[in-house]
Amino acid sequence: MAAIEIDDLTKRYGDHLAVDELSLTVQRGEAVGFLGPNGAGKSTTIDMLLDYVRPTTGTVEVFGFDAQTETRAVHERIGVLPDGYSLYDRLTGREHLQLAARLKGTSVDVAAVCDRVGLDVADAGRPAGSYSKGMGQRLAIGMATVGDPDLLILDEPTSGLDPHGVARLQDLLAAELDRGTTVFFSSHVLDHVASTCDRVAILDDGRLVAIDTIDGLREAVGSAALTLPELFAVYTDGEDPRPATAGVSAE
Amino acid sequence: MSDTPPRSSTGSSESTGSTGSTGSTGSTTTDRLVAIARKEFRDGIRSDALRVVFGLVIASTVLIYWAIGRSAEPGVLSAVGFLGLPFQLLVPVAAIALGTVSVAGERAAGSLRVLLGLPPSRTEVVVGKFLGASGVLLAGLAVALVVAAVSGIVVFGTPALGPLVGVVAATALLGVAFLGVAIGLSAAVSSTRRAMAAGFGGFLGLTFLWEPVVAGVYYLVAGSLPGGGLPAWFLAVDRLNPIEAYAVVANMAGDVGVTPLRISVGLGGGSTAAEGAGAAVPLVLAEPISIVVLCGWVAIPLAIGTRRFRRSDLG
Repeated sequence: MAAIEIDDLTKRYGDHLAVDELSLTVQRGEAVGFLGPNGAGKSTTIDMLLDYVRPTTGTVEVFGFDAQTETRAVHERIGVLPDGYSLYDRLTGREHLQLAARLKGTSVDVAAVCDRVGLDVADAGRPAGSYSKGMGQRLAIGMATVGDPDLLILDEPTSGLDPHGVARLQDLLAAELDRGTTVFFSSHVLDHVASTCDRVAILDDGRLVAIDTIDGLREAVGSAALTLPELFAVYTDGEDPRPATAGVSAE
Repeated sequence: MSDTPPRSSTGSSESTGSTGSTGSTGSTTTDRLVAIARKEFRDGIRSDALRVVFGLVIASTVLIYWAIGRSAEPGVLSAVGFLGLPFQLLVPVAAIALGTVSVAGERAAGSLRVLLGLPPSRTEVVVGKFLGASGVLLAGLAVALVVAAVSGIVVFGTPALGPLVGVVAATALLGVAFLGVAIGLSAAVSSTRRAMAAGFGGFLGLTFLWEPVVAGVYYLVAGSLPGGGLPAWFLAVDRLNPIEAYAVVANMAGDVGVTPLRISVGLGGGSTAAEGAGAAVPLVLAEPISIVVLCGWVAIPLAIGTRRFRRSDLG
Protein backbone atom coordinates (compact mmCIF):
# COMPACT_ATOMS: atom_id res chain seq x y z
CA MET A 1 0.00 0.00 0.00
CA ALA A 2 1.36 3.38 -1.04
CA ALA A 3 1.75 6.31 1.35
CA ILE A 4 -0.06 8.62 -1.07
CA GLU A 5 -2.18 7.52 -4.01
CA ILE A 6 -3.64 10.37 -6.04
CA ASP A 7 -5.91 9.20 -8.80
CA ASP A 8 -7.24 11.33 -11.63
CA LEU A 9 -7.63 14.32 -9.34
CA THR A 10 -9.29 17.45 -10.70
CA LYS A 11 -10.22 20.69 -8.96
CA ARG A 12 -12.14 23.29 -10.87
CA TYR A 13 -12.92 26.78 -9.56
CA GLY A 14 -15.53 28.13 -11.96
CA ASP A 15 -13.76 28.19 -15.32
CA HIS A 16 -10.32 27.78 -13.82
CA LEU A 17 -8.78 24.33 -13.68
CA ALA A 18 -6.50 24.46 -10.64
CA VAL A 19 -5.63 20.77 -10.79
CA ASP A 20 -6.16 18.79 -13.97
CA GLU A 21 -6.47 14.98 -13.89
CA LEU A 22 -3.49 14.55 -11.62
CA SER A 23 -2.35 11.03 -10.78
CA LEU A 24 0.69 10.24 -8.70
CA THR A 25 1.90 7.71 -6.19
CA VAL A 26 4.31 8.18 -3.32
CA GLN A 27 5.72 4.93 -1.94
CA ARG A 28 6.24 4.37 1.77
CA GLY A 29 9.55 5.56 3.08
CA GLU A 30 10.44 7.72 0.10
CA ALA A 31 11.03 11.45 -0.04
CA VAL A 32 9.26 13.17 -2.89
CA GLY A 33 9.70 16.82 -3.77
CA PHE A 34 6.61 18.46 -5.20
CA LEU A 35 7.66 21.26 -7.52
CA GLY A 36 6.02 23.74 -9.81
CA PRO A 37 5.81 27.43 -10.58
CA ASN A 38 3.53 29.65 -8.51
CA GLY A 39 -0.07 28.85 -9.29
CA ALA A 40 0.74 25.42 -10.72
CA GLY A 41 -1.69 23.75 -8.32
CA LYS A 42 0.70 22.40 -5.67
CA SER A 43 -1.07 23.93 -2.71
CA THR A 44 -4.49 23.04 -4.06
CA THR A 45 -3.33 19.44 -4.40
CA ILE A 46 -1.99 19.40 -0.85
CA ASP A 47 -5.22 21.05 0.34
CA MET A 48 -7.19 18.15 -1.15
CA LEU A 49 -4.80 15.68 0.46
CA LEU A 50 -5.64 17.30 3.81
CA ASP A 51 -9.37 17.65 3.04
CA TYR A 52 -9.26 21.44 3.33
CA VAL A 53 -10.60 21.50 -0.21
CA ARG A 54 -12.83 18.91 -1.89
CA PRO A 55 -11.95 17.52 -5.31
CA THR A 56 -14.24 18.17 -8.27
CA THR A 57 -13.46 14.63 -9.40
CA GLY A 58 -10.90 11.98 -8.55
CA THR A 59 -9.65 10.55 -5.28
CA VAL A 60 -6.79 10.86 -2.85
CA GLU A 61 -5.76 8.02 -0.55
CA VAL A 62 -3.24 8.16 2.25
CA PHE A 63 -2.09 4.76 3.56
CA GLY A 64 -5.21 3.36 1.92
CA PHE A 65 -7.59 5.77 3.65
CA ASP A 66 -9.70 8.13 1.61
CA ALA A 67 -8.64 11.71 2.35
CA GLN A 68 -12.22 13.01 2.13
CA THR A 69 -14.23 10.28 3.83
CA GLU A 70 -11.68 8.82 6.27
CA THR A 71 -10.07 12.11 7.18
CA ARG A 72 -9.40 11.27 10.81
CA ALA A 73 -7.61 8.02 10.01
CA VAL A 74 -5.44 10.00 7.60
CA HIS A 75 -4.73 12.85 9.98
CA GLU A 76 -3.79 10.51 12.82
CA ARG A 77 -0.93 9.24 10.68
CA ILE A 78 0.45 12.42 9.21
CA GLY A 79 2.31 15.53 10.32
CA VAL A 80 1.46 18.69 8.44
CA LEU A 81 3.12 22.01 7.75
CA PRO A 82 0.37 23.71 5.73
CA ASP A 83 0.68 26.53 3.28
CA GLY A 84 -0.46 29.95 4.53
CA TYR A 85 -0.73 28.84 8.14
CA SER A 86 -0.46 31.00 11.24
CA LEU A 87 0.11 30.24 14.91
CA TYR A 88 -1.89 31.34 17.95
CA ASP A 89 -0.36 34.66 19.01
CA ARG A 90 -1.48 34.36 22.61
CA LEU A 91 -0.39 30.75 23.16
CA THR A 92 3.18 29.83 24.02
CA GLY A 93 5.35 27.50 21.96
CA ARG A 94 4.95 24.86 24.65
CA GLU A 95 1.15 25.20 24.52
CA HIS A 96 1.24 24.74 20.75
CA LEU A 97 3.21 21.51 21.05
CA GLN A 98 0.96 20.26 23.84
CA LEU A 99 -2.12 21.06 21.78
CA ALA A 100 -0.76 18.97 18.91
CA ALA A 101 0.10 16.13 21.30
CA ARG A 102 -3.33 16.12 22.97
CA LEU A 103 -5.11 16.14 19.65
CA LYS A 104 -2.99 13.20 18.54
CA GLY A 105 -3.54 11.34 21.77
CA THR A 106 0.13 11.29 22.64
CA SER A 107 2.61 13.18 24.77
CA VAL A 108 5.44 15.46 23.78
CA ASP A 109 8.91 16.12 25.11
CA VAL A 110 9.02 19.87 24.54
CA ALA A 111 12.77 20.15 25.12
CA ALA A 112 13.50 17.37 22.62
CA VAL A 113 11.31 18.91 19.93
CA CYS A 114 12.88 22.34 20.48
CA ASP A 115 16.30 20.79 20.18
CA ARG A 116 15.36 19.01 16.97
CA VAL A 117 14.08 22.13 15.23
CA GLY A 118 16.57 24.56 16.77
CA LEU A 119 14.19 26.52 18.97
CA ASP A 120 15.50 27.79 22.30
CA VAL A 121 13.64 26.02 25.13
CA ALA A 122 13.30 29.36 26.91
CA ASP A 123 11.44 30.69 23.88
CA ALA A 124 8.95 27.82 24.19
CA GLY A 125 7.63 29.60 27.29
CA ARG A 126 6.87 32.79 25.36
CA PRO A 127 3.74 33.49 23.31
CA ALA A 128 4.09 32.71 19.62
CA GLY A 129 2.98 36.27 18.81
CA SER A 130 6.44 37.42 19.90
CA TYR A 131 8.27 35.00 17.58
CA SER A 132 10.16 35.93 14.43
CA LYS A 133 9.07 34.30 11.16
CA GLY A 134 11.86 31.75 11.43
CA MET A 135 11.05 30.83 15.03
CA GLY A 136 7.39 30.39 14.10
CA GLN A 137 8.39 28.16 11.21
CA ARG A 138 10.58 26.05 13.51
CA LEU A 139 7.72 25.67 15.97
CA ALA A 140 5.30 24.72 13.19
CA ILE A 141 7.76 22.10 11.88
CA GLY A 142 8.09 20.83 15.46
CA MET A 143 4.31 20.54 15.73
CA ALA A 144 4.26 18.50 12.52
CA THR A 145 6.65 15.94 14.03
CA VAL A 146 4.66 15.44 17.27
CA GLY A 147 3.40 11.89 17.64
CA ASP A 148 5.89 10.36 15.19
CA PRO A 149 3.77 10.58 12.05
CA ASP A 150 4.32 8.05 9.29
CA LEU A 151 4.02 10.71 6.63
CA LEU A 152 5.19 14.31 6.75
CA ILE A 153 3.48 16.72 4.37
CA LEU A 154 5.40 19.97 4.32
CA ASP A 155 4.43 22.94 2.18
CA GLU A 156 7.46 25.21 1.70
CA PRO A 157 9.23 24.10 4.89
CA THR A 158 12.33 26.24 4.24
CA SER A 159 10.31 29.42 4.02
CA GLY A 160 11.49 31.93 6.62
CA LEU A 161 14.40 29.75 7.76
CA ASP A 162 17.97 31.02 7.91
CA PRO A 163 20.78 28.72 6.66
CA HIS A 164 21.10 27.17 10.14
CA GLY A 165 17.40 26.45 10.12
CA VAL A 166 17.60 24.87 6.68
CA ALA A 167 20.50 22.68 7.87
CA ARG A 168 18.46 21.61 10.92
CA LEU A 169 15.55 20.79 8.67
CA GLN A 170 17.81 18.66 6.44
CA ASP A 171 19.00 16.74 9.52
CA LEU A 172 15.47 16.34 10.78
CA LEU A 173 14.22 15.03 7.46
CA ALA A 174 17.21 12.68 7.16
CA ALA A 175 16.46 11.29 10.63
CA GLU A 176 12.77 10.89 9.79
CA LEU A 177 13.60 9.10 6.54
CA ASP A 178 15.97 6.77 8.42
CA ARG A 179 13.11 5.92 10.72
CA GLY A 180 10.97 4.97 7.72
CA THR A 181 8.84 8.11 7.58
CA THR A 182 7.56 9.14 4.18
CA VAL A 183 8.21 12.76 3.26
CA PHE A 184 6.22 14.74 0.71
CA PHE A 185 7.12 18.38 0.42
CA SER A 186 6.90 21.34 -1.86
CA SER A 187 9.68 23.86 -2.13
CA HIS A 188 11.10 26.58 -4.29
CA VAL A 189 14.57 25.97 -2.88
CA LEU A 190 15.63 23.43 -5.46
CA ASP A 191 19.06 22.71 -4.00
CA HIS A 192 17.37 21.61 -0.83
CA VAL A 193 14.99 19.44 -2.81
CA ALA A 194 17.86 17.90 -4.79
CA SER A 195 19.75 16.96 -1.63
CA THR A 196 16.75 15.47 0.20
CA CYS A 197 14.49 13.83 -2.34
CA ASP A 198 14.48 10.40 -3.88
CA ARG A 199 12.15 11.62 -6.61
CA VAL A 200 10.64 14.88 -7.73
CA ALA A 201 7.19 15.51 -9.17
CA ILE A 202 6.83 18.60 -11.33
CA LEU A 203 3.47 20.26 -11.72
CA ASP A 204 2.73 22.88 -14.34
CA ASP A 205 -0.63 24.48 -15.00
CA GLY A 206 -2.42 21.91 -12.87
CA ARG A 207 -0.91 18.96 -14.72
CA LEU A 208 1.83 16.57 -13.70
CA VAL A 209 4.58 17.02 -16.28
CA ALA A 210 7.18 14.74 -14.72
CA ILE A 211 7.81 12.42 -11.81
CA ASP A 212 11.14 10.71 -11.59
CA THR A 213 14.53 10.67 -9.90
CA ILE A 214 16.74 13.58 -10.85
CA ASP A 215 18.91 11.21 -12.89
CA GLY A 216 15.80 9.93 -14.57
CA LEU A 217 14.79 13.45 -15.51
CA ARG A 218 18.27 14.11 -16.92
CA GLU A 219 18.02 10.96 -18.97
CA ALA A 220 14.59 11.87 -20.26
CA VAL A 221 15.78 15.30 -21.34
CA GLY A 222 18.97 13.79 -22.77
CA SER A 223 21.44 15.93 -20.92
CA ALA A 224 23.34 14.43 -17.99
CA ALA A 225 24.85 17.74 -16.90
CA LEU A 226 21.68 19.60 -16.02
CA THR A 227 21.05 20.72 -12.44
CA LEU A 228 17.61 20.48 -10.89
CA PRO A 229 16.91 24.22 -11.46
CA GLU A 230 17.77 23.75 -15.12
CA LEU A 231 15.61 20.64 -15.36
CA PHE A 232 12.79 22.51 -13.66
CA ALA A 233 13.07 25.25 -16.28
CA VAL A 234 12.99 22.73 -19.11
CA TYR A 235 9.84 21.10 -17.76
CA THR A 236 7.93 24.25 -16.92
CA ASP A 237 9.06 26.77 -19.55
CA GLY A 238 7.08 25.93 -22.60
CA GLU A 239 9.13 22.89 -23.60
CA ASP A 240 6.75 20.28 -24.90
CA PRO A 241 5.75 18.60 -21.64
CA ARG A 242 5.72 14.87 -21.54
CA PRO A 243 2.33 13.24 -21.04
CA ALA A 244 1.27 13.28 -17.43
CA THR A 245 1.22 9.53 -17.06
CA ALA A 246 4.65 8.81 -18.53
CA GLY A 247 6.61 8.88 -15.29
CA VAL A 248 3.99 7.83 -12.80
CA SER A 249 5.10 4.26 -12.35
CA ALA A 250 8.79 5.01 -12.57
CA GLU A 251 10.63 3.99 -9.44
CA MET B 1 -1.19 16.72 30.71
CA SER B 2 2.48 17.46 31.27
CA ASP B 3 5.67 16.96 29.37
CA THR B 4 6.21 13.28 29.57
CA PRO B 5 8.95 11.13 28.08
CA PRO B 6 10.01 11.01 24.46
CA ARG B 7 7.79 10.28 21.57
CA SER B 8 6.50 6.76 21.56
CA SER B 9 7.76 5.08 18.45
CA THR B 10 5.75 1.91 18.89
CA GLY B 11 2.07 2.54 18.26
CA SER B 12 1.81 4.69 15.19
CA SER B 13 4.03 2.81 12.81
CA GLU B 14 2.29 -0.46 13.58
CA SER B 15 -1.24 0.83 13.34
CA THR B 16 -0.72 2.06 9.80
CA GLY B 17 0.47 -1.36 8.78
CA SER B 18 -2.95 -2.88 9.26
CA THR B 19 -4.82 -2.34 6.04
CA GLY B 20 -8.11 -0.57 6.30
CA SER B 21 -8.25 -0.70 10.07
CA THR B 22 -9.88 2.46 11.35
CA GLY B 23 -9.17 1.62 14.97
CA SER B 24 -6.03 3.30 16.19
CA THR B 25 -4.18 4.33 19.29
CA GLY B 26 -4.96 8.03 18.90
CA SER B 27 -7.13 10.46 20.83
CA THR B 28 -10.84 10.07 21.53
CA THR B 29 -13.51 12.61 20.59
CA THR B 30 -13.57 13.73 24.22
CA ASP B 31 -9.80 14.24 24.25
CA ARG B 32 -10.02 16.38 21.15
CA LEU B 33 -12.97 18.44 22.34
CA VAL B 34 -11.24 19.07 25.67
CA ALA B 35 -7.97 19.98 23.95
CA ILE B 36 -9.65 22.47 21.62
CA ALA B 37 -11.85 23.88 24.38
CA ARG B 38 -8.83 24.33 26.62
CA LYS B 39 -6.92 26.06 23.84
CA GLU B 40 -9.87 28.32 23.11
CA PHE B 41 -10.29 29.12 26.80
CA ARG B 42 -6.62 30.06 27.28
CA ASP B 43 -6.63 32.09 24.10
CA GLY B 44 -9.92 33.79 25.06
CA ILE B 45 -9.06 34.83 28.60
CA ARG B 46 -5.88 36.45 27.30
CA SER B 47 -7.84 38.61 24.88
CA ASP B 48 -7.63 42.30 25.76
CA ALA B 49 -11.03 43.11 24.27
CA LEU B 50 -12.65 40.49 26.46
CA ARG B 51 -10.89 41.72 29.57
CA VAL B 52 -12.19 45.21 28.85
CA VAL B 53 -15.77 43.97 28.51
CA PHE B 54 -15.61 41.98 31.74
CA GLY B 55 -13.90 44.91 33.43
CA LEU B 56 -17.01 46.88 32.51
CA VAL B 57 -19.29 44.12 33.83
CA ILE B 58 -17.52 44.19 37.18
CA ALA B 59 -17.27 47.97 37.35
CA SER B 60 -20.99 48.35 36.63
CA THR B 61 -21.78 45.69 39.24
CA VAL B 62 -19.93 47.58 41.96
CA LEU B 63 -21.45 50.85 40.77
CA ILE B 64 -25.01 49.48 40.98
CA TYR B 65 -24.60 48.26 44.57
CA TRP B 66 -23.00 51.51 45.59
CA ALA B 67 -25.70 53.66 43.92
CA ILE B 68 -28.68 51.62 45.17
CA GLY B 69 -27.17 51.65 48.66
CA ARG B 70 -27.31 55.43 48.65
CA SER B 71 -30.73 55.71 47.01
CA ALA B 72 -33.97 56.66 48.74
CA GLU B 73 -35.14 53.05 49.00
CA PRO B 74 -32.08 50.89 49.33
CA GLY B 75 -32.63 47.15 48.99
CA VAL B 76 -30.45 44.25 47.95
CA LEU B 77 -33.12 42.79 45.67
CA SER B 78 -33.42 45.91 43.55
CA ALA B 79 -29.62 45.95 43.21
CA VAL B 80 -29.73 42.34 42.00
CA GLY B 81 -32.54 43.26 39.59
CA PHE B 82 -30.56 46.18 38.21
CA LEU B 83 -27.62 43.90 37.38
CA GLY B 84 -29.77 42.55 34.56
CA LEU B 85 -29.31 45.75 32.57
CA PRO B 86 -25.51 45.87 32.17
CA PHE B 87 -25.38 42.07 32.05
CA GLN B 88 -27.77 41.71 29.12
CA LEU B 89 -25.95 44.38 27.19
CA LEU B 90 -22.32 43.50 27.90
CA VAL B 91 -22.47 39.71 28.01
CA PRO B 92 -24.06 39.34 24.55
CA VAL B 93 -21.50 41.84 23.24
CA ALA B 94 -18.69 39.75 24.74
CA ALA B 95 -20.24 36.57 23.32
CA ILE B 96 -20.62 38.05 19.84
CA ALA B 97 -17.09 39.46 19.88
CA LEU B 98 -15.68 36.14 21.06
CA GLY B 99 -17.85 33.93 18.84
CA THR B 100 -17.77 35.71 15.51
CA VAL B 101 -13.96 35.64 15.31
CA SER B 102 -13.68 32.07 16.56
CA VAL B 103 -13.90 30.08 13.35
CA ALA B 104 -13.80 32.78 10.66
CA GLY B 105 -10.87 34.53 12.35
CA GLU B 106 -8.81 31.36 12.43
CA ARG B 107 -9.83 30.64 8.89
CA ALA B 108 -8.67 34.06 7.69
CA ALA B 109 -5.45 34.01 9.71
CA GLY B 110 -4.51 30.44 8.78
CA SER B 111 -4.31 28.85 12.23
CA LEU B 112 -7.33 26.75 11.23
CA ARG B 113 -5.06 25.06 8.70
CA VAL B 114 -2.82 23.95 11.55
CA LEU B 115 -5.73 22.79 13.70
CA LEU B 116 -7.44 20.86 10.89
CA GLY B 117 -4.12 19.33 9.85
CA LEU B 118 -4.30 17.54 13.20
CA PRO B 119 -6.91 14.80 13.86
CA PRO B 120 -9.98 16.93 14.84
CA SER B 121 -12.92 17.02 12.47
CA ARG B 122 -14.55 20.30 11.54
CA THR B 123 -17.50 19.50 13.81
CA GLU B 124 -15.13 18.89 16.72
CA VAL B 125 -13.44 22.22 16.04
CA VAL B 126 -16.78 24.09 16.20
CA VAL B 127 -18.05 22.26 19.28
CA GLY B 128 -14.69 22.50 21.07
CA LYS B 129 -14.54 26.21 20.38
CA PHE B 130 -18.07 26.64 21.66
CA LEU B 131 -17.19 24.83 24.89
CA GLY B 132 -13.99 26.82 25.40
CA ALA B 133 -15.61 30.18 24.69
CA SER B 134 -18.50 29.25 27.02
CA GLY B 135 -15.88 28.61 29.68
CA VAL B 136 -14.49 32.10 29.15
CA LEU B 137 -17.95 33.66 29.62
CA LEU B 138 -18.65 31.52 32.68
CA ALA B 139 -15.30 32.43 34.22
CA GLY B 140 -16.03 36.13 33.74
CA LEU B 141 -19.52 35.75 35.19
CA ALA B 142 -18.17 33.76 38.14
CA VAL B 143 -15.96 36.71 39.01
CA ALA B 144 -18.94 39.05 38.60
CA LEU B 145 -20.99 36.78 40.89
CA VAL B 146 -18.37 36.94 43.63
CA VAL B 147 -18.04 40.71 43.27
CA ALA B 148 -21.82 41.13 43.43
CA ALA B 149 -22.13 38.86 46.49
CA VAL B 150 -19.37 40.69 48.32
CA SER B 151 -20.87 44.06 47.36
CA GLY B 152 -24.25 42.88 48.68
CA ILE B 153 -22.73 41.89 52.01
CA VAL B 154 -20.76 45.13 52.30
CA VAL B 155 -23.59 47.46 51.32
CA PHE B 156 -26.73 45.64 52.52
CA GLY B 157 -25.40 43.02 54.92
CA THR B 158 -26.68 40.17 52.72
CA PRO B 159 -25.84 38.90 49.22
CA ALA B 160 -29.42 37.68 48.47
CA LEU B 161 -27.66 34.67 47.08
CA GLY B 162 -30.67 32.81 45.64
CA PRO B 163 -31.98 35.60 43.38
CA LEU B 164 -28.41 36.69 42.57
CA VAL B 165 -27.43 33.21 41.40
CA GLY B 166 -30.68 33.14 39.41
CA VAL B 167 -29.78 36.34 37.55
CA VAL B 168 -26.18 35.29 36.93
CA ALA B 169 -27.24 31.82 35.74
CA ALA B 170 -29.78 33.36 33.37
CA THR B 171 -27.07 35.71 32.09
CA ALA B 172 -24.77 32.74 31.52
CA LEU B 173 -27.52 31.09 29.49
CA LEU B 174 -28.08 34.29 27.52
CA GLY B 175 -24.35 34.62 26.86
CA VAL B 176 -24.12 31.01 25.72
CA ALA B 177 -27.14 31.54 23.44
CA PHE B 178 -25.43 34.48 21.75
CA LEU B 179 -22.27 32.42 21.58
CA GLY B 180 -24.21 29.72 19.73
CA VAL B 181 -25.44 32.29 17.24
CA ALA B 182 -22.04 33.96 16.87
CA ILE B 183 -20.06 30.75 16.44
CA GLY B 184 -22.70 29.41 14.07
CA LEU B 185 -22.30 32.56 11.96
CA SER B 186 -18.54 32.37 12.23
CA ALA B 187 -18.55 28.80 10.93
CA ALA B 188 -21.00 29.59 8.16
CA VAL B 189 -19.16 32.49 6.53
CA SER B 190 -15.57 32.84 5.37
CA SER B 191 -14.76 36.30 6.70
CA THR B 192 -14.71 37.66 10.23
CA ARG B 193 -16.11 40.97 9.06
CA ARG B 194 -19.22 39.33 7.67
CA ALA B 195 -19.74 37.22 10.79
CA MET B 196 -19.37 40.30 13.00
CA ALA B 197 -21.72 42.38 10.90
CA ALA B 198 -24.34 39.64 11.06
CA GLY B 199 -23.75 39.05 14.79
CA PHE B 200 -24.00 42.64 15.95
CA GLY B 201 -26.67 43.42 13.34
CA GLY B 202 -28.69 40.50 14.65
CA PHE B 203 -28.31 41.70 18.23
CA LEU B 204 -29.53 45.17 17.30
CA GLY B 205 -32.35 43.60 15.31
CA LEU B 206 -33.48 41.59 18.32
CA THR B 207 -33.37 44.78 20.40
CA PHE B 208 -35.05 47.20 17.96
CA LEU B 209 -36.96 45.23 15.37
CA TRP B 210 -38.42 42.28 17.22
CA GLU B 211 -41.50 44.15 18.39
CA PRO B 212 -42.58 45.40 14.95
CA VAL B 213 -41.88 41.95 13.47
CA VAL B 214 -43.98 40.16 16.08
CA ALA B 215 -46.68 42.84 15.76
CA GLY B 216 -46.59 42.26 12.00
CA VAL B 217 -47.17 38.56 12.55
CA TYR B 218 -50.12 39.44 14.79
CA TYR B 219 -51.49 41.76 12.13
CA LEU B 220 -51.32 39.01 9.51
CA VAL B 221 -53.16 36.57 11.78
CA ALA B 222 -55.66 38.83 13.57
CA GLY B 223 -56.14 41.59 11.00
CA SER B 224 -55.36 44.32 13.50
CA LEU B 225 -52.43 45.54 15.54
CA PRO B 226 -52.02 44.02 19.01
CA GLY B 227 -53.95 45.68 21.80
CA GLY B 228 -56.08 44.80 24.81
CA GLY B 229 -56.17 41.17 25.91
CA LEU B 230 -53.52 39.38 23.91
CA PRO B 231 -53.62 35.67 23.11
CA ALA B 232 -51.06 33.39 24.71
CA TRP B 233 -49.51 32.47 21.37
CA PHE B 234 -48.62 36.11 20.77
CA LEU B 235 -46.75 36.35 24.04
CA ALA B 236 -45.14 32.98 23.39
CA VAL B 237 -43.87 34.22 20.02
CA ASP B 238 -42.65 37.40 21.69
CA ARG B 239 -40.69 35.29 24.16
CA LEU B 240 -38.80 33.56 21.38
CA ASN B 241 -36.59 36.63 21.50
CA PRO B 242 -33.61 35.55 23.64
CA ILE B 243 -33.64 38.91 25.41
CA GLU B 244 -37.29 38.45 26.37
CA ALA B 245 -36.63 34.85 27.38
CA TYR B 246 -33.71 36.07 29.47
CA ALA B 247 -35.88 38.40 31.52
CA VAL B 248 -38.29 35.54 32.23
CA VAL B 249 -35.50 33.18 33.31
CA ALA B 250 -33.66 35.83 35.34
CA ASN B 251 -36.72 36.34 37.55
CA MET B 252 -37.36 32.63 38.06
CA ALA B 253 -35.29 32.29 41.24
CA GLY B 254 -36.96 35.32 42.80
CA ASP B 255 -38.77 38.18 41.10
CA VAL B 256 -36.15 40.90 41.26
CA GLY B 257 -37.67 42.87 38.40
CA VAL B 258 -35.17 42.19 35.61
CA THR B 259 -36.67 43.77 32.50
CA PRO B 260 -35.74 42.93 28.93
CA LEU B 261 -33.44 45.49 27.34
CA ARG B 262 -35.53 46.24 24.28
CA ILE B 263 -36.65 49.31 22.47
CA SER B 264 -40.44 49.53 22.42
CA VAL B 265 -42.33 51.62 19.90
CA GLY B 266 -45.68 50.76 21.44
CA LEU B 267 -46.66 47.95 19.08
CA GLY B 268 -46.47 45.23 21.72
CA GLY B 269 -49.90 46.01 23.16
CA GLY B 270 -48.62 45.83 26.73
CA SER B 271 -47.74 42.28 27.55
CA THR B 272 -48.54 42.65 31.25
CA ALA B 273 -52.25 43.15 30.52
CA ALA B 274 -52.70 39.65 29.20
CA GLU B 275 -50.56 38.07 31.88
CA GLY B 276 -52.82 39.59 34.48
CA ALA B 277 -55.96 38.49 32.66
CA GLY B 278 -55.45 34.73 32.75
CA ALA B 279 -55.23 33.27 36.26
CA ALA B 280 -53.89 29.95 34.99
CA VAL B 281 -50.74 30.41 32.93
CA PRO B 282 -50.97 28.43 29.69
CA LEU B 283 -48.23 25.90 29.04
CA VAL B 284 -46.61 27.93 26.25
CA LEU B 285 -46.01 30.72 28.74
CA ALA B 286 -44.59 28.49 31.50
CA GLU B 287 -41.29 29.94 32.64
CA PRO B 288 -39.15 26.84 31.89
CA ILE B 289 -40.17 27.18 28.23
CA SER B 290 -37.90 30.23 28.12
CA ILE B 291 -34.97 28.05 29.18
CA VAL B 292 -35.78 25.77 26.24
CA VAL B 293 -35.92 28.82 23.95
CA LEU B 294 -32.45 29.93 25.02
CA CYS B 295 -31.11 26.40 24.50
CA GLY B 296 -32.62 26.51 21.02
CA TRP B 297 -30.66 29.68 20.31
CA VAL B 298 -27.52 27.75 21.22
CA ALA B 299 -28.18 24.59 19.28
CA ILE B 300 -29.90 25.61 16.05
CA PRO B 301 -27.43 28.23 14.79
CA LEU B 302 -24.51 26.02 15.82
CA ALA B 303 -25.95 23.08 13.89
CA ILE B 304 -26.62 25.14 10.77
CA GLY B 305 -23.21 26.81 10.90
CA THR B 306 -21.42 23.51 11.41
CA ARG B 307 -23.25 21.99 8.46
CA ARG B 308 -22.14 24.79 6.17
CA PHE B 309 -18.60 24.71 7.55
CA ARG B 310 -18.31 20.97 6.92
CA ARG B 311 -19.21 21.44 3.29
CA SER B 312 -17.07 24.42 2.46
CA ASP B 313 -13.64 24.62 0.85
CA LEU B 314 -11.14 26.41 3.05
CA GLY B 315 -9.66 28.77 0.49
